[in-house]
Amino acid sequence: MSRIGSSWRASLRIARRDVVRAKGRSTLVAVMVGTPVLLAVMLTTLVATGDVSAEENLPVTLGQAQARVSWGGGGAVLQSPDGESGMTTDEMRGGVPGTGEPPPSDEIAAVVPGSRLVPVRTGWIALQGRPDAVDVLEADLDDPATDGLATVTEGRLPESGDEIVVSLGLARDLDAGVGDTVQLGGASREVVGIGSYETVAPTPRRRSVVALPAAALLDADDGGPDYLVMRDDPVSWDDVKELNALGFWVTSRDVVENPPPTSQQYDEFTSWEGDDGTRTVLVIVVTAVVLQVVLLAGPAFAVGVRRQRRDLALLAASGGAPADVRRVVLAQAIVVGFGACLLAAGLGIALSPVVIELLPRWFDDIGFGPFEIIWQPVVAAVALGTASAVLAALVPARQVAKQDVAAVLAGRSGVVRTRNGWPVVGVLLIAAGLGVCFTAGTQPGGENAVAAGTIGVVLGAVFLTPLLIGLVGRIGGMLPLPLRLAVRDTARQRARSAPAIAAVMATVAGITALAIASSSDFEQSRRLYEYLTPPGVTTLSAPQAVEESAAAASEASGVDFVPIGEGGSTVQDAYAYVSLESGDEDMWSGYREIAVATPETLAAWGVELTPDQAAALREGTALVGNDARLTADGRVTIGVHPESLDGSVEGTTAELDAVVADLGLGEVPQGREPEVARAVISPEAARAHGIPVSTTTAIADRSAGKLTAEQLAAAKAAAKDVEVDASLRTERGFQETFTLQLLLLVGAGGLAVLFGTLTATGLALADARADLATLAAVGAAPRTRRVVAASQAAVLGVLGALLGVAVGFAPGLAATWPLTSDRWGSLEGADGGPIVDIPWGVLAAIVFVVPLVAVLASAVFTRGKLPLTRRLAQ
Amino acid sequence: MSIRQGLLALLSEQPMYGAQLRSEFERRTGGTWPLNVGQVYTTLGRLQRDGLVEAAGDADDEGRITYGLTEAGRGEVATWFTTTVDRESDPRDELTIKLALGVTLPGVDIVAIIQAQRAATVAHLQDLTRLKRDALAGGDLPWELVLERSIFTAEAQVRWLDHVESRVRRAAAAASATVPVADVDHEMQESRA
Amino acid sequence: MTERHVLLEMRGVSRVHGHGPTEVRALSGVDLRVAEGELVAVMGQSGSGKSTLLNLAGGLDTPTAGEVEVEGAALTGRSVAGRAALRRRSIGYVFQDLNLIPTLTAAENVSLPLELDGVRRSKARKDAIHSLADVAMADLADRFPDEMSGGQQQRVAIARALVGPRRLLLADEPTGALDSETGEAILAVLRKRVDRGAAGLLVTHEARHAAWADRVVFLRDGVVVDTTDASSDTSAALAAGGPRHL
Repeated sequence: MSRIGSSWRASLRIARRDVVRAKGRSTLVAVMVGTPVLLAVMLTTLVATGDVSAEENLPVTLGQAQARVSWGGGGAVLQSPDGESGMTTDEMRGGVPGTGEPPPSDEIAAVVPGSRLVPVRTGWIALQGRPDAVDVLEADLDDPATDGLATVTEGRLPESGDEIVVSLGLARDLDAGVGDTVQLGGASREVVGIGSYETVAPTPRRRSVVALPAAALLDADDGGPDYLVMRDDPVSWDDVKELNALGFWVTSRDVVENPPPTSQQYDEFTSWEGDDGTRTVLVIVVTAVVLQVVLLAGPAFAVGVRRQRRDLALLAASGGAPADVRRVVLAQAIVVGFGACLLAAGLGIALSPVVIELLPRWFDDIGFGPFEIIWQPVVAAVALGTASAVLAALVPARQVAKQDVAAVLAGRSGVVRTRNGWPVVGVLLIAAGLGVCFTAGTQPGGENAVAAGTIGVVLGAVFLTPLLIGLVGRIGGMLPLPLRLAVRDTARQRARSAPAIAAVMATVAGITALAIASSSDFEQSRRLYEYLTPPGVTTLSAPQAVEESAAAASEASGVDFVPIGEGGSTVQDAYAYVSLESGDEDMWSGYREIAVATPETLAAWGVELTPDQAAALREGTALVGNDARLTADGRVTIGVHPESLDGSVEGTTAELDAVVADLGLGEVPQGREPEVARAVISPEAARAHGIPVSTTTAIADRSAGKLTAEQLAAAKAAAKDVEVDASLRTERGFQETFTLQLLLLVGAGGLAVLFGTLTATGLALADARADLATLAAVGAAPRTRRVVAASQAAVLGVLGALLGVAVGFAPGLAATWPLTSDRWGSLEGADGGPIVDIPWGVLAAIVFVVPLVAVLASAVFTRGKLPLTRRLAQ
Repeated sequence: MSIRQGLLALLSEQPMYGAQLRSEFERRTGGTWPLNVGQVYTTLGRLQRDGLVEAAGDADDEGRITYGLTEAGRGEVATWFTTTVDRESDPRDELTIKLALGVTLPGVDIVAIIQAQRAATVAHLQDLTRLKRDALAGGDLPWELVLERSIFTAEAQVRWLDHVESRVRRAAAAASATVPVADVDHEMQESRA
Repeated sequence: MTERHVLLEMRGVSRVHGHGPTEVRALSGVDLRVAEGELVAVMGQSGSGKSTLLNLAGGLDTPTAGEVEVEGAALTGRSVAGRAALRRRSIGYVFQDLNLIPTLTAAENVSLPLELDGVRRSKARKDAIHSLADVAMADLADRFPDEMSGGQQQRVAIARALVGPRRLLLADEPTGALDSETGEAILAVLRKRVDRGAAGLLVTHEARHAAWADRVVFLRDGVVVDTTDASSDTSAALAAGGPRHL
């Protein structure tokens, strides 16, 4: 043991000096190993800091109280102990039956006796003339219970109903500061402070207001307030469960700080930990990153080892065993790797606070809690990074340990004939990977299997790369001189070129698979897009007050917005579902079962009736789009299904005479022509048959044509003034574009190709100094160095990218099965096989354009001058 | 080496008469060592006196006597081939004395003397090399080896002169106690950088 | 001496490295001409300016004063690219080692200057084989350098130096990395190629190698101090110095 120990000590000492001596190469390796570690450390730190836990949030959630109780809106509540996730069941147990109102606060007091309940109201209000809502907290801020809920950075808390505290973001929006007066909730309010509430994460752009209950900004009828539970005893998990049964959500200080054992928690929330899918993804990502690092750092070690061959031969000559020689090389990897990882981790931790400080200034919804580092991932990243470096040095170390010492010392080149990798292993891995891709991978939900299979295929291709490079080297003779030099050098120096090409190949393979998969996925969305109206038609929807909104929009824009009624009711506690029940289930397009409208309204919607049809509609006859929707005797049946408060549904039906009319809204570019509804009845008929009608949508009169941008803006502003939730939609067809994602893919792939290619090119050029001097002596023009560099980059880049596309193709195709074969409700019917859309442009860009960039970059960054005078033998 | 041993060596191949010995000797040494017949017969007479050679028979029709080796003569040839040749240490070597004196005498440009001598020796080397090329072309190995002997001697003299020159220059530099001569090979420095 | 075509002419060539206190005069006012069929050796100890002279002759370096002409064309005043072009067409280099590009075969190495000059591939190869045959290396045309001995590599380098139209060969200690017998053989090849219509400038510090030349130029501290010519009369040579050294 002691011999091994001292041998390692000696190796590490030699390694340390070699690392310092070869600064350039050491830096290169350090960057390659350190960058992923840096990113991993920063990411985990940012996530840990940004993910504000319930415990961290306690002061601003509870103030000084033991717990905070809020009404869930209906059924019993199932919640996690920290109160951050959960659900309201349909089981109607709590609340005041038939009203949806929360139970009186006595019921809470009964569960947690001896407590004082302090009401706190939160909600949002619209701001006159502005589209976005503002968060509001109304609480008795004098009460010691609320101490801590609101934080003020400037000024003071409000003391009367006329005073408010606004958040920094809102103050900026309103252009108001402390002492200014603003219009809010129909009255003038004085801004007395700048501050926020209910968050420990400072999100400077959040728009919120803190006020006293006297300000009456919030509608008191809108659900019950939250209650802060003030008492000396903690609120136990059992108390929480009891309150859950009443329909309340509870955040208890005691429960958050000391969570109950899993056995006592709701079953629905106990299986959340250890998400297998997430773990698989993590394993795949880590494997891919380690593979990249190993492949990119490998060539640097290979070149370094070749430079040191004589030193290492001397070591062997003075009694070093092959194991000692190997150790010296591995020790270098440990020194560089560990050093780089430590440095990167330190840098990551040091940089995180800067990012935490900067990010919220640029993005609306990003906020960070107290700075927090999770040490396990940091340690894991450092260990993994160091391991990658050692792994990268493994092959060169083994090679040099086997070198012919006598030949090297005698100055004979002792060319190490590189093996052809392990082609058999490669073929087996590829077969296995493809097997996984096309068996488990093509099943629904097989994305992870495809990813795992891809790793197998890529690894297999890595093992095959040396052989392939060797084959390419054979055709070198036919190429023009600079390319011939590059191809032969690539084939000769496989220890250096194979990992670099493999690195490029691996990344491009991943990108290719991803590009094909996501492009096909996107193609599916595009094909499944359904037009709701013909293109260019604008609709306005406002769930509460569409008539008023439409009127306001009409006035503002000068175009009539015509509302249309629809069977059914969405009023809370009086919900009813109305549908056409006669005829067969037919394929149709549109989003209304039964429209309730006059012929005039239909005309505004673009549905032209013949005079006979119009007359029939007025007389109480229903219109249907085709006769398949009729009963055998030519009538329609309309079902009405009101839902009672206890959740039971009773149905009645109405039967009407019907005629067939063209209910289509007009031709659309793709898919079925949308219809205004499956059937249309007049308002009178609806009333006569007891069919509930709600109106939520209006249309900009079709005869007015397409609205201008100004008209749209005016209509939108006017409608929103009436109802905050009002929204305008103009049918533009399938608007999503995939360009950004594809550009990101090309960018990511491009960066990898560039980095791998340039690294390997640089190393190759460093090796080729003697050859370049010979070229100069023979009479090569000065630009030849650039041409040789460019050729080297072209060979490495194109070879890697081509291999990558070839390797990534199959997994990409496999991924289209789980992603696109399940087409519920598609026009072609479900399970029509995968949709395959191959983004040829992206692939071409990666194979040709990106290497071209690498070629140009290496030409530009290579010193053009050939080394003129001959230098001594190295 | 002497004529005496050379003749003994030639006779060890086969008995020869005087004129035959002379022409064979000159052929074998490539004509670098001309002999006259008188020298040959004088030497033969001495060898006969010492009992190393003897007449192989009576004079032929033209009055030529063929000589062969005696037993003692054969022994003498064997001994000569197996003993090493003493290094030539001619105490009266003119060049050595010239340089040794020149280094210490004032007013003598010793470097110029060295260069003149070197140029002369190299010129001689060039001539020898030209002869060697002919020997190589004609496949005449003995002649080539004889020439190589001269080439090595001349080469050794040039190398000795090189050494003397650099030593003298170093001594001169040390004496003048200034910065050493800037004999830096610039390219080499550049390339190492 | 008959009138022969002068392939390299240097007139008053000086080269100064650096300036001010670090100034080093590598060469001062050197005159040198090498004609067709002539092998000229440059001797001198290290630092005498031998390599600078060779680099100036080949246009790898430019003189600070004086003129260099190759086949009657002035090297001085040409651009770097222009000098490179002249090197491709007129000048061949042979160094001590690392002469050949390891990724190219012997024939490809020899045809390198032609290919760089845009000569058709097949024509370049024909010329290369021809030049290899001149140094008795045509059999190994398709071997890679690491499949050849040091002497064979030097022969290929000579073949490359004189491939196609190139007739000026600049050799910098071409035998330095070889054992003496192989070295002699290389010089014999060099001599033969020069005799058959080329001009050679050989830099060496060994007298026995310089002796292969028709003329030996002695350099000391960047200055030509002496020039010797081989006498055309060999018997005179023997009479002059022969027996004295035997």
